Amino acid sequence: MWKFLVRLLVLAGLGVLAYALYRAIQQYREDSVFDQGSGAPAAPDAPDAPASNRSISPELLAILADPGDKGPVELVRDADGREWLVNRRNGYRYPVDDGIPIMLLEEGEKHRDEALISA
Amino acid sequence: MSLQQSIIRQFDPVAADYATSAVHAAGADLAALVAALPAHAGVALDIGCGPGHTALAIARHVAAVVAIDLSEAMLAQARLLAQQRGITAVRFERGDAGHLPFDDASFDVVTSRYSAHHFPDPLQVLREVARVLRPGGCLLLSDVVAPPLLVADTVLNAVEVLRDPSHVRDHTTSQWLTLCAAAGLPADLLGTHATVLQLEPWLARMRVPAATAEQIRRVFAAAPDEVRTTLCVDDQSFTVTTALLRARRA
Repeated sequence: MWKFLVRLLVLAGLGVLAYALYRAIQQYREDSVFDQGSGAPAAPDAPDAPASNRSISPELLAILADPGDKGPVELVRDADGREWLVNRRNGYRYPVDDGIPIMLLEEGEKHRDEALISA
Repeated sequence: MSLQQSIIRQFDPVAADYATSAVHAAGADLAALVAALPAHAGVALDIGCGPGHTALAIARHVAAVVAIDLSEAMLAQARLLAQQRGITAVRFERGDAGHLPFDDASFDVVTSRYSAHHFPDPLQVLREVARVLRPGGCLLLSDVVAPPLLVADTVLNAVEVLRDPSHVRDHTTSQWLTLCAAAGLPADLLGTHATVLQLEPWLARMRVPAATAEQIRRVFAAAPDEVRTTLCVDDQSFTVTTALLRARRA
């Protein structure tokens, strides 16, 4: 009788634990559509950054385009550690300010760097 | 000063006030917009997100939201609100509605609430929206519309631009439907909501100088009866109509 009760308790405990784990995973999935993409590469500069890091998520990067020519932009970190979104076709550089990309044409033009144009 | 600079100058200093504005934070029009979202939508784009009320309201109903605005202060306010509400599936970006910084066919839904009256060239914005929407995706546009009565349209837009120099135009519903069709986004009117605007908070939210507030009161006072009736003008308030349109990308 004792053994039966203990077994029952252990089984119930396992059930609760499994449910809690399931909920935690669900919540994590809901919260991390941006942070945890399917097959997308990890952020190049923040592989083990904390969850609160303010780098651009790979999913956002994948759909970001130059506001002018609509072509892709590349995330580049300069010597001072500042992040830029670079259009390799015309050298426009869009600043990333505290994790928020500033995708305005005049900003890109203001920070243009011809050395970044790839042939 | 360009229109874009005017918008930034107008909205950067008042971002915190907009974060707590009851008209913007809640309202039947926001509930209607959320209800009109397609089921199981993927990524949504909110254009002219301001302090984030719409982006955060839809975040719980779509996989993820990207929200753009011209004003840096509004974006900071929006991100703060997202953190306070524990909403993580939203990303913010400074961007211009007329030059969307996204790849073609990137979004299932695009929303714009109380921002379309700032578009300098609404047709260009709608063409951009058509470009970034996936086939079958939809635009939900909600904004104050001008009444069909021309003289009331004129008075409404006159007081709007006195209050906010970066105001471009409240279009009529039929103008929006025509513009959407021209951009390849055939649209329907889903509904309208009447919003009573109390003059004092409406003027205070934009920090309208006393002299300008007096001008606005004079425009209302001198308006013909048809206008006063259409806009329900009294000493303390007037009423605007907000329209919710759904436009589909073929």
